[in-house]
Amino acid sequence: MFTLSKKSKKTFIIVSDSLLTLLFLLMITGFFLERSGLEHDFSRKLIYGAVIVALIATPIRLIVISSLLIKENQKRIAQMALSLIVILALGGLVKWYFL
Amino acid sequence: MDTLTVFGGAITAGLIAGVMGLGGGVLIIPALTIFAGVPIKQAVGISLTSVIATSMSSSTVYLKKDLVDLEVGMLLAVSAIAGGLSGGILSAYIRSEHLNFIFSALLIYSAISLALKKESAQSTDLKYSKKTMWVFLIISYFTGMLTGMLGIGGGIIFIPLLYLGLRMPLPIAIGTSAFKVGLTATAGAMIYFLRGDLDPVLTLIPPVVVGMIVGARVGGMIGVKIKSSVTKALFSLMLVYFSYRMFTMGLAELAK
Repeated sequence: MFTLSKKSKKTFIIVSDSLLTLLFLLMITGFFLERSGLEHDFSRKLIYGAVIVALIATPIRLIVISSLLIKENQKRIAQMALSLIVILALGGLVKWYFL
Repeated sequence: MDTLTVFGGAITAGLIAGVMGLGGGVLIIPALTIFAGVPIKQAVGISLTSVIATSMSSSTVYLKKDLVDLEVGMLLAVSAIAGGLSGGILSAYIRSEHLNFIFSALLIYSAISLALKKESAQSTDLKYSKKTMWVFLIISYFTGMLTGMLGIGGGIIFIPLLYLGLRMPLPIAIGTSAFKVGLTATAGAMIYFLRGDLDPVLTLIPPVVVGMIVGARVGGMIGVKIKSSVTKALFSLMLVYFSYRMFTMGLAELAK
């Protein structure tokens, strides 16, 4: 079973944790603003932002992991990660234009 | 229902999911539907968003401990994402009561598979034939489809699939599944988001997501200290109860 090097793991974890922290902060701020009854529109925008962060986090993480895999000469797994991004993008486009 | 109550419910669901090593979608959807009165399609959208966050949180922990088989995870995710997208689209054409019935059946299956799950010595030196892999790619596609339709991460199906089917050691099966479910959930969540299903319940998303993440982290810590046979029995009983409630709700919808 292939495992990432320590350095690559660290990079990937930093990216994932940063995205998760951003998502967390947006959700919590939106939640408390909504509960306070103030800034209703702004709080909804924050929650929307958090959902968008959750949705784009996966492609970002896949891009990062595929570049790390290419660095570690694991081109086959990197290709799989990149194909996942293509499938996600195509799915989004199909939904956006045709449904 | 008050958002603080939803938050409390999400913490509890996350806690149980953390103890069992699951994403928690299989718990939060019945909880939102039964106790908070959220329509099932919207509950599915909320659950998928929370699964992305919990997967992101837990998969980094598993990756740090080298418990993720990236090759198998990525390969199966390709077909699961395709399935997730088609499931998300398909859900628009399925009636709510039918979703209730499918979910009820899935909960019963989960209860039985969890109750029967046993630890056994398995090898980390995994070799798969092309034929076996094709079979699993097809199964993974349909698992992904269920993810898109039902809003679960799919861990409850995927872990037994990796563990029993590919004979992966249980910790690696759980780690690989945690990594994969976030990818699959994104495909489903994207469809629900673009369709506008999340708009009416937008304010319920933060308490569920934050509660699930907090609960799952604490649950993960508690999980190592509790006897697995006790948690498995309690969890299976709870799934049976949820299955019964979802089934009766489906019947009530059908009678309307």
